[in-house]
Amino acid sequence: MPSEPLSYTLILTHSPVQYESNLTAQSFVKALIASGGIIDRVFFYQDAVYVGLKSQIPGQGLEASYKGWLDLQALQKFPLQLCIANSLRRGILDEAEAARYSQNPNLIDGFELSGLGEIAEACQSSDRIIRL
Amino acid sequence: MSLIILTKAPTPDLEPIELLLALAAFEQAPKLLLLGEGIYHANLFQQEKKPQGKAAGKVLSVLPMYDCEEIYISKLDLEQQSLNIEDLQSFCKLVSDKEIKQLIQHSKHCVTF
Repeated sequence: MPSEPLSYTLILTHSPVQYESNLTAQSFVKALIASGGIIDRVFFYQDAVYVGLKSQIPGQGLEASYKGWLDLQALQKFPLQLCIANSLRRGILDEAEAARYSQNPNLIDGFELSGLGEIAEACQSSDRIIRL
Repeated sequence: MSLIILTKAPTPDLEPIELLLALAAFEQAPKLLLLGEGIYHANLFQQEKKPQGKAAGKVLSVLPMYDCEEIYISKLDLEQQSLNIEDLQSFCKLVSDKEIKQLIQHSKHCVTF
């Protein structure tokens, strides 16, 4: 009898500019999806929230790491969640927060700001939590 | 049961501790394990890292009020950091490598910072 597929929450904490963990995580998620795994969510914490900053301009010929996440999200509709407190601290705002603080929104479509309650939920519901 | 492991010294914003507090607020009864330079989170003499910031030791002192009462410190790492037990929050418990292994084995999830 085939076993139930495992569900995963990924937590990323490193800057997508300084570390390769974003690319490692994308390769990992791609492999998980290919093997039948269920991605509950990808949660960006600390400097990893910079992945959702709309105004980032990668070097010539390079691709910003958020594009890889959007491609993976198209394969399996999992949420890409940025910690709201960490994002506000770093000036990353969705429309609601931008309106609240009289700023312009700068969050890439496809990403969302979420509270840490999502990690509490992950601890309850995901079979595995992977931090990269 | 979730185990948060801190391996790095306190930063200006204590973001890993925020995660711990959130898990406690959602009644997840998280446990905290301090390894390596992470032990400095429990140091009574740690000062805030930025103006109007929060000192890690003081933040740690309120964790029991949030039902986060199990805070463990590696006995071996304490010696390697040349810290004394008297310099740390009194409610922290020193654990051996064997106990750390058991702590990790008995946790549903471990998140390391």
